[in-house]
Amino acid sequence: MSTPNIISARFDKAGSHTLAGYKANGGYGTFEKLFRMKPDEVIDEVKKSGLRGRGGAGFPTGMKWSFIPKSTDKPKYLCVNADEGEPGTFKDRLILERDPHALLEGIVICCHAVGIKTAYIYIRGEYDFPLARLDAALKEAYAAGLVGKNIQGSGTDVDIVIHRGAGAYICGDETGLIESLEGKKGQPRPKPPFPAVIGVFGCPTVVNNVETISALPWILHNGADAYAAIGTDKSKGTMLFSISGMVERPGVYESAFGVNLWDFIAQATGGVKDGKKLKAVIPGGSSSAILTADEARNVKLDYESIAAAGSMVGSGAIMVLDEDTCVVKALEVVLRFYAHESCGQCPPCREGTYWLYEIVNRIRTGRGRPEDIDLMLSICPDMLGRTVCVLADSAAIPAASYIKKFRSEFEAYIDKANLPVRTLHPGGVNLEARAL
Amino acid sequence: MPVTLTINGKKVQAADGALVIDVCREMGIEIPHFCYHPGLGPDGNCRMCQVDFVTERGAKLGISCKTTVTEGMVVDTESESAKKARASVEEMLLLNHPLDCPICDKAGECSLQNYYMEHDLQEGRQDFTRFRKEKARDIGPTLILDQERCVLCDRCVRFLRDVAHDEQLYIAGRGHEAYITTFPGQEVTSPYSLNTVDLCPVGALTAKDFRFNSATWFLKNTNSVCTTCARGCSMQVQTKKDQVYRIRPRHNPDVNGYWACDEGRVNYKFVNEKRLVTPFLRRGAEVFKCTTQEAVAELRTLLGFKPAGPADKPATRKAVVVVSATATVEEMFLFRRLASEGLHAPIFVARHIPDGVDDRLLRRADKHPNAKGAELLGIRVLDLQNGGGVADLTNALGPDGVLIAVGFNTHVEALMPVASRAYALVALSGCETALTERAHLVIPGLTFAEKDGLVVNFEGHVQQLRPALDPRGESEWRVADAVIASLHGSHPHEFLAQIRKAISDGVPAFAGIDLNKLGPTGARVQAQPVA
Amino acid sequence: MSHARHALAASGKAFAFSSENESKFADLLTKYPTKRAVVLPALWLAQEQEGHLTVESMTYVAKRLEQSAVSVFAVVEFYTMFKTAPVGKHHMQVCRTLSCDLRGCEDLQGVIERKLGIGAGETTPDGKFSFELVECLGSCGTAPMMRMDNRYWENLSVEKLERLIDACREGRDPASEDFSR
Repeated sequence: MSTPNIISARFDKAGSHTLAGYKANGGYGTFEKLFRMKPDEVIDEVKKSGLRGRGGAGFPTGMKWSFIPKSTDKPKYLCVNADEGEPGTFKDRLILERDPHALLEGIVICCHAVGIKTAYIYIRGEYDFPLARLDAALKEAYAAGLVGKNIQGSGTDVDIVIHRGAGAYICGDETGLIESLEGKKGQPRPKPPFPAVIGVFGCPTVVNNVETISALPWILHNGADAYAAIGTDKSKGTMLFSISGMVERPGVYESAFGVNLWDFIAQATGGVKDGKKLKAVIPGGSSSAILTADEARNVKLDYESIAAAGSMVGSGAIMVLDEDTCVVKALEVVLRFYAHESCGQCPPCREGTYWLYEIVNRIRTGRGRPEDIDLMLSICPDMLGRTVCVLADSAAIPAASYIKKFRSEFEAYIDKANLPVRTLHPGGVNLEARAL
Repeated sequence: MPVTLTINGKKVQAADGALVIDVCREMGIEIPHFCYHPGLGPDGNCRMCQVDFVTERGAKLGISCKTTVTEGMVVDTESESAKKARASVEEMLLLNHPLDCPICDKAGECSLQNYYMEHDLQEGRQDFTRFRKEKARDIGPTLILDQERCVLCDRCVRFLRDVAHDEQLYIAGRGHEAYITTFPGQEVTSPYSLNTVDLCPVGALTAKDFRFNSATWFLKNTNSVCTTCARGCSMQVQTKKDQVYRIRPRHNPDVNGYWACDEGRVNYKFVNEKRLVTPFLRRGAEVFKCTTQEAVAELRTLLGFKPAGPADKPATRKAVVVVSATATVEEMFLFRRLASEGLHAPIFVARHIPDGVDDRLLRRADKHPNAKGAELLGIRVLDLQNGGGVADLTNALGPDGVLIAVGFNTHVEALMPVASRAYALVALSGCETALTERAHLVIPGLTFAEKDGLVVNFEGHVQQLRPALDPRGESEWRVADAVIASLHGSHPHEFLAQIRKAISDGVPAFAGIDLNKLGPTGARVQAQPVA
Repeated sequence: MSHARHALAASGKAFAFSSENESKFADLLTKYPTKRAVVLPALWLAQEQEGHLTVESMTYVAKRLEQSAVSVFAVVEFYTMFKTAPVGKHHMQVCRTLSCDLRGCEDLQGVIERKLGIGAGETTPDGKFSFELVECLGSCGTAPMMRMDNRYWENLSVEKLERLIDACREGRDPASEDFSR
């Protein structure tokens, strides 16, 4: 099916990141219409479009905006989540590098709709080049009066501040981001209260992903119905999919929802690298459950279908494993990531991610015991739904799926284990066998 | 508007906005928790207090420390999933927790230990080398930190920041490497630092004052009151055999909340040091031990009475009775009776300990626990540190008076100028001091740890000291009673209950308070009419 | 290990913002409703000024923003990009998460260990290179890759990394040579 390029339309155009280039392609054209619309009308339009959050949770955007209390004495804030830390995801950076003005225009749309005067863009600290592009674009926008006080004489004020993170995946979590923006460690908050009521600086806050906000200019320009006409019944529109791993042409590819997952991957990237056989697909970032090759070939790429298959669309980060990929090693790398990124607040996550990593590392380095596989499987449920945020779930869900679907690979390591007695050392260093 | 909810099948009423964990506690259901503390509020990080909340969509686990009750809420604290969640959190906390129990101060009062016995009891599945952090680090004048034992509940951080307003500890780092620390090169110097040791649910923070001194289960607990300043925090005195080992605050919503200052906690060393146990007389340079009866006779002689039998003439020598403002209400009451009826002598209560600081939390500048008690009894309080108190006392004494000094166990310097002028100095003291080195007659007294007596704090809150140790000396009020009786020619006949009744009958401020039935947190006296 | 960082000694060098950073700092204060929110941006200024953060610069930032020093220290220890020890002139951050692992980041590690003789967390004796393994840098489509000198070096291979290291060693600007971007 032919997908209109909504987010990626300008990516390959020269000078797309500049104000001149953006305007030449119709950029900031929504302002004329926007400022004549009542805020509630804008929210309704976004609701009608069916736009869902593109950061990972897929929450309906219009509905999220409508949770902000209408009458409040407190200032309201928008936090744009440009922390992009979910392993496998590299799409928001393209927007920042090649089409930053779309984000800025989208921010003004959101702020007008919700009554927000200040927006913070929380960008991960490692993104040097995207930050440079974004910073330049923001300066251009301010200079041209497209951002700031009384935009184009509309009476709407929107100030945008770029805030740089400093290296913590957990700051991509909505309340982790808020805590970090407030100048603290990025430790998520128990909910309730939700950010719409008590967010950053104690004020009502909308937290939205870069791509979500960047879709707004198209929606406003072409109408909610046009957006809703694309995709499936419950998964409207398009999404940028970051495809990496063992494919010929890794990259960011936009697609409407509803295509066959493997057909899309094969067509966009040229399929498995070097003609190897497909083993597995991780459809939605390292936090998502793994799909076998068969499952990947027989599922549609939309929120409901992927969920029905036991996984999730998440951040749209697709990673492809081929026949030579060791699933045990892949799980070890994934669990090491979560153990490293856990903020440390709650025991089931802080200790559970570390424990899971210890065990899979032991298995992979030839020190696994037969009971270790079932031990891992029994730890996973203890980490689900028990914690302040979902990082623990993001470790436990993949772990359970890798083991359940590729158990034989784990068993093979254990059968080959050359140390039947326990050797104890963290961090994967092989010690010689010590008889008890 | 109170709400009705169901907890474990029982319908219960609770105040709107109350926390589920508190409502459960009032029902006698103790939900285990680490990060929550009623004096600090909830944090929500430990996940130990999870219970099932049942709706038509099924049961879902939630933390009871941060959930407020709502009308019609259904809570199940004993469901299989709630029990499993608790056991799992306990298991997670034990994974990297060092098995220090045999050498850890907290053993016997440790939440991790207790919850294992109450909520876990599973075989350990821990199977890797525990993560190493720093142990036994000196982080200030009062505390030793063991980072490995820490369960990262954040209580100490929140206490120092939100209650003591001395943000000196923080959790730094991330994940399983997170650790409690001070800023490099800095220490915990808050005068309330030892509260973190009570708050710490495990042995991560231990008190230098108590470290390795005793296993906790050998300690006997006595409810009492701190006597280090005029706040009079409710305390628990912990003893073993004949020594005080530790003093900790008890919860008293009317006086000190959950806390106490460091100074009050460690102010018990003098109880076990330089104690006087036998009365003695001084003749010239020589000291002679004597019995209490002989001491009373000596006192009478010093005052100009015949040594025994009913006194038929008044005292020939002028006397002044000065009682330390650390004495109890009963002691002041009986010495007032002795001074006015028996000796026709003036009585003063003296503030002799140098002022401390008034801080925003608990500490009072007045370092005497019972100056207010003297005020309520109508006894004049002299400030010997300043304000001419020494002059007043010296004038009252005259050139050859007998000074009877009661209860000056510490900080006698301010009294010495008067004492050195007395013709004769009589001291009722628990401890050896410059005063007793000079006194002609010494009758050994008690410290707060051995007394049963009332003290009134600066706000008019009366509480009861209870004896935690066997008396090493004579109860001061009994000595007064003995002298009074001796001068009458009768036997001492007072007992505490009667004295307390007489006090509440005779002092309008105590009206309505049964001083013989004071609960563990005391009572507030009536506001005095403005003179 | 991080628990040794409490033993972080004072550097002995007093710290204050350069005049350029002072005006940036003043500007930052206008952009947030609380002083505390300026902690991360201010730490970035301090780190960029001296190459890493010290006891003195952390104390300075805390004081300027009316925060406790220990809370600022806790923040520094939480975020991996804040450094409390000097790094090499060229600090190589090699990504080790899933797609980079699939596409050979361990080979890059091998190159660094072979050519420079340093492991993760170490610096060459001449201070020119240091090396750190980091988690997902958001460049999975151009794996394996690393971050060095405030930019990404993508689509690396053993051969490209060797050439890149040689260029740095010989004082040539690697950006002017043919590496992917």
